[in-house]
Amino acid sequence: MAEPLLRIEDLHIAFQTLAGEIRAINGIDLEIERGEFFGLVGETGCGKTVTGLAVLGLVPKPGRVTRGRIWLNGRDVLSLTPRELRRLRGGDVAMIFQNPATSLNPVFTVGSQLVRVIHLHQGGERRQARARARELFDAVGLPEADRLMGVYPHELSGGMLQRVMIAMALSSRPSLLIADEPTTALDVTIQAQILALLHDLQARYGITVLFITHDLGIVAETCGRVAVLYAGQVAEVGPTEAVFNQPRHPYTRGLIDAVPRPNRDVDHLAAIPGTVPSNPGLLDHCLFASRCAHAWARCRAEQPAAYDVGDGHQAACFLQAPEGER
Amino acid sequence: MSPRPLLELRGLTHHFAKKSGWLARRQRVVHAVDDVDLSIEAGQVLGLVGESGCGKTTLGRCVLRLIEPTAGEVLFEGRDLLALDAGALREVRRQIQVVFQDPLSSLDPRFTVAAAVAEPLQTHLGLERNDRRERVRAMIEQVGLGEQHLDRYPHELSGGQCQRVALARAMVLQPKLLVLDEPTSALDVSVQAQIMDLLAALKRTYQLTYLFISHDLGVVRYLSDRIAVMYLGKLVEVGPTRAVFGAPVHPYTEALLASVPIPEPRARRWDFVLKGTVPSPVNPPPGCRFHTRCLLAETICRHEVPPLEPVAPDHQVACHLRTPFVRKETSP
Repeated sequence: MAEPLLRIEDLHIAFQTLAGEIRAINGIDLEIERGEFFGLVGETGCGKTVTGLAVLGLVPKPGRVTRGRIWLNGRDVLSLTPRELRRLRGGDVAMIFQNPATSLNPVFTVGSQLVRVIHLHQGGERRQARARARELFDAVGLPEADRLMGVYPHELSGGMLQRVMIAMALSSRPSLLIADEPTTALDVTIQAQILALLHDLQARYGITVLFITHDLGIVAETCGRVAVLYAGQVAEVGPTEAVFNQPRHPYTRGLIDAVPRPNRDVDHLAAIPGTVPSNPGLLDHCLFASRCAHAWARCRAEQPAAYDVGDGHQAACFLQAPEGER
Repeated sequence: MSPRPLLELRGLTHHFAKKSGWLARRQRVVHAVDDVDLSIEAGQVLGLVGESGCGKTTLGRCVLRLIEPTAGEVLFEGRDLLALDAGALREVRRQIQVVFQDPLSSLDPRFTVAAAVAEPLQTHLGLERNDRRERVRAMIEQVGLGEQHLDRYPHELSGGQCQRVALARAMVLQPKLLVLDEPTSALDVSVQAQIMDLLAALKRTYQLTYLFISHDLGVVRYLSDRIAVMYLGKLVEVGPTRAVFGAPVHPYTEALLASVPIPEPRARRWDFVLKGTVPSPVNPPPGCRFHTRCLLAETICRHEVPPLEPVAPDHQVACHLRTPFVRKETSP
């Protein structure tokens, strides 16, 4: 089998704070194949954003990777020099964020910012960069490229700004696009437009998308495979259809049942009792055990491995262990 | 004859004056809420939905007179709140309370939980310290918190716990109507489910009436008896929850429902996506305000404002093309 585009091995990230070491990421393993639309889903604080940033070598201070490896296109990201990292970010990987308005500089026109990015990473003449920028505006569905390139960020709506960010991200023809909650700040009808655009771009350019979100609905409708994060670990990973139709981890089940549906009547929302442990990395048993209705003695004594349940579907839960091993 | 509604809005309108241009010499008018008629029966939940900027929050604030409406009437138990003086308004506000989206900004960081929940008892009822303490303790338990939370400050609580405190503070005066403005939008889905269940339980226990404002259609469906859909300051569809979600009539309601991602893997139709963005409320389009994005729009939609017309008992829609009496003016 070919080497996956992105492979994360046993990633651990800890934050040094005055209150001691907070272990946010506690052993994440992920493999993302070329051309995939891969979803990384979880609630606030589960580590989904930090994981995305780590792929770019951008773990925010005072955090640091304490263990593990990240392979992108066969290169070990964590061992790159700052110079190599800069080239990686403008080249092989690009990232878009939740709030495009804060990602753009308010005192420059959107066109000049895009041209600058192209010029910086690809060199060449200004004129070529401008032509490429116009091309990109077309590709992301911004009409009248010539006029829109001359406007300032505040003159555009949130949906249009996110299109500008996507154009910027695509400018280097990256093999991996990390999208961190790119539609969370947008209204649903605009969200649908951006999701449709990402789908279209993926189909046209074969780009690989790592889609980070808290919204299970978006995952169900856009991603081919999904990993559910809980307290800095992968609770469950697999093809989207299998994970949603037959969730194998009680946390995944709980999350799905907690979402109120616009398409059907629900009498009772099954809330997950309790809260996430505050420093989960210090625990040496299943991190979900304290909130799990199925937990038994073993769950409070040791950590489950990721058990295979077929078709690349895995769940880190003793319920999925083979009969003899429970 | 149906009973008199608890809350009735008649022709409610709010226009903001927005200054613009060099030294604010030009004045423009933002049509935030435009001629809205709406009523809520006692014991019912009305879900008010729409995208950002549609005027749903402004409408909620007008009900409380936190914003003074430009025109119209707000009838609470038959009394027009807009005609009341400050003293009488204060009396009525005991009956109408509000919970906002972000509890960390609506709770005073220097007040303990006990003090925050006790404050309304002092200002509205003038209760003595000991009586307050009892009521506060009982209310805190009602919202699923305990004795141990009473002396904590907001920053020591999680988002869900803060929202429970905000609810306790609103509930402690035993109001009849709660205006809930996106009360779960800042919360994670597992916590949101806890708060939704709490809201449903409180409503049952106290026979409360809710005006529930949200952009999240799933959340609204779960709690509401009736739904009102707003677009650019106008109501486009009002009706029973089942009818509006099951068989939406207005093209906007239909498009909105089709846009919401559902956590069930299915073949998504990416071609059925609403084009364009919501126009500015400064100069709303003439005629039907939705015509600039509507796939069905015809000539009449660009010129005449469609009135809310019944399509079924208790179900009204403002659309020239989808109401039963299609106007003859559309044909040449």
